[in-house]
Amino acid sequence: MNIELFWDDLKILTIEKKDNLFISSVDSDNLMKAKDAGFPTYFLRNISLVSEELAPIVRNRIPGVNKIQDKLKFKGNCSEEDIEENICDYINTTECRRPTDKISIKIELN
Amino acid sequence: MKSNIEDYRKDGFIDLDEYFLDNPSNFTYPYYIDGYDEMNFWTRVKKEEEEKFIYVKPRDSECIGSNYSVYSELIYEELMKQVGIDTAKFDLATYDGNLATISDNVLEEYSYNEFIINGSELLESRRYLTYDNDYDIEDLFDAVHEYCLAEYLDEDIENKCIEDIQKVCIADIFTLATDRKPTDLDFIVGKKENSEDTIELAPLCHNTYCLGSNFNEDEIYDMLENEDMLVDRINLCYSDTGVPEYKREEEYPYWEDTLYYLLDENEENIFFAKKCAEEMDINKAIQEVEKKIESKIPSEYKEFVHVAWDNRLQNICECIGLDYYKIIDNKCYEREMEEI
Repeated sequence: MNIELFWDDLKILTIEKKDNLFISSVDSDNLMKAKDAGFPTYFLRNISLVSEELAPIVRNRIPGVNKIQDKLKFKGNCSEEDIEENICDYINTTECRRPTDKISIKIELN
Repeated sequence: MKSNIEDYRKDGFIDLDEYFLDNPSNFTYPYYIDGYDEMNFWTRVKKEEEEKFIYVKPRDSECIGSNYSVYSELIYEELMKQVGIDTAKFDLATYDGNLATISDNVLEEYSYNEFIINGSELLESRRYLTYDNDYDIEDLFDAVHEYCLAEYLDEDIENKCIEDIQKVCIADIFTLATDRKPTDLDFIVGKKENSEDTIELAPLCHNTYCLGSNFNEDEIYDMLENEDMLVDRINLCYSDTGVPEYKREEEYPYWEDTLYYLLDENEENIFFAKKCAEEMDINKAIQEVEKKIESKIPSEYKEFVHVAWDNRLQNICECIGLDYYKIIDNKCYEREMEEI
């Protein structure tokens, strides 16, 4: 699973989920453009390159699994892949973004 | 067909269910913070002939507190106006069978490159230094300081932000706010129109429990009957954005200790506390709210708010050496003059 963090149209951060690890990488060119436009780099400074936890700047902008399951009303016989795909669809289509925010999140399955 | 949200007001409350029934093309944006799922959400509606985002906060009927919390949020807004603190503009609504408040997008008046972050995002850097994310006001000051250092912001910007946080904490003591954790404050960050980086306290959006609305209807009724109970319970009304535990003095109630901590050799805060005592007028605030919602606030709650307010004001006046009776006389005189 790939999680991408955007500032307007600029992709700043990509987090790849491998097994139980989140591996982060920053697009330095886009980051500098975003910084000039007002993105505070402060929010990236506590992100570990490799971590078992999802970066807070992403975690704060996506719904919890319980909420999504509640919305999608998963049935008991749903496979884990299906659930994961539905979660990605839900996050991408509901535009997990507040009107007061400039950061948005996109999730892709590998 | 009606299309403006204001046209759906019934007995003071805007009926969102009916609005969404007539205007089904609206999207809703759920609001999540720190993985915590709330009932609150953003949606787009037609207001004052314009398409606008509003933030909807439905009250869960099983939640603590009373249904009066929707009124207290509006009264709080009026009280803050009287002392110059910005809040979101609130209104009453019903949604999915529950009472709710709605508020505007406070960022509308700001430039494009500013955005709002929640206090919890700022406090993330302190996460590993606190037990169970139990932040206090000094953690918030430290987090603002760290942010300003990291973003190379002027000391003036940092001081202004910290002063504003302190003012909100003082105002919260007057308004018996019980629901203000350091993570409940929002901050505007980014770049201003003049290209300067900034951090400033955002207009207040989370004021759910204040003015005694954390008590349920039965408790309010009991307190109106029993003065000793009222005094005890009102003394227990405090918000968590207060004095750090290591500076706490157990002989005072928490709110009083916080007040002493905030006013300690701080001329500006002392001045602001006096301003709150002299200029916050609960009668006027209630009248303004009733005018806005074109309906009356339940009389039992109004009576309770008056009693609770007077009790807290009297105690604060004792703490900061003000003459409570003189303040009340002045307010009565002002009101009479206005009526004339």
